[in-house]
Amino acid sequence: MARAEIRNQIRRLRFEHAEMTQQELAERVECTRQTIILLEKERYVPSLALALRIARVFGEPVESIFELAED
Amino acid sequence: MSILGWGIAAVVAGMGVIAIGVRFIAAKHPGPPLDEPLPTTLLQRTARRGLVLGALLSLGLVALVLRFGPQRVLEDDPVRISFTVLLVLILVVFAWLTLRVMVWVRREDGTLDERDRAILSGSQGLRSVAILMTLVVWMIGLQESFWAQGAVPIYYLNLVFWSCLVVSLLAFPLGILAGYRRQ
Repeated sequence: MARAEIRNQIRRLRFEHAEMTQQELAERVECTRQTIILLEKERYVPSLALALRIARVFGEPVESIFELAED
Repeated sequence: MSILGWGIAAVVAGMGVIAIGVRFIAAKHPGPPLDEPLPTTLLQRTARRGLVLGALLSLGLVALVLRFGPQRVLEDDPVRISFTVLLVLILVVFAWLTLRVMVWVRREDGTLDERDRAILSGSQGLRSVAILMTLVVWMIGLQESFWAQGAVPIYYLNLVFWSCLVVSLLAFPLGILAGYRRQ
């Protein structure tokens, strides 16, 4: 069975939104900067609640920010 | 083996569980590449402080017991006072760490994010197993040493309790720090 990964566009969206810093995004979605860094490195899969908060901050549908990528 | 040896083995067994658990977690989930050092979280910094303080105080306790023996530690006034002071300080560190984390858990202001909470939850398992292992080794040691007499000298009850407290104090922050290695 193929191993699923979650890819995301957080880093690109952050720069597109007035070059928002990781700390600013972390404060807006109520998580730590460490979590944002790991999200951008695709080393952490957010909960649905966190993914929805991120989507709300960027004003994008959650499925345009996160995608399932299978090997 | 002497009863003191069993006591040392009990604490070593508890710490051994922590060491194996930490190595297992780190090996299975290596940390992020070093090209970008991660900022530490409040929980990580607190866990590190608790670990350093706890380790220093615990070494002091162990040194006292090894130097004077378990009976003198409780019967010799100056030694008992030193032992008691160290124990009180360990309890203070333990209470500080536990209460601080409990307050953060109850807050909904983002002090702990979802990842912090998941790591905290996972750290409890390591702590429980470490304490259990310490108790198992103590039980074996006390039975081996005192089965013929049919009774355990009362000062060993203190040592069993305090060694479990020490293992718990060290396992808690170690479990948290190991959880942050799990990326």
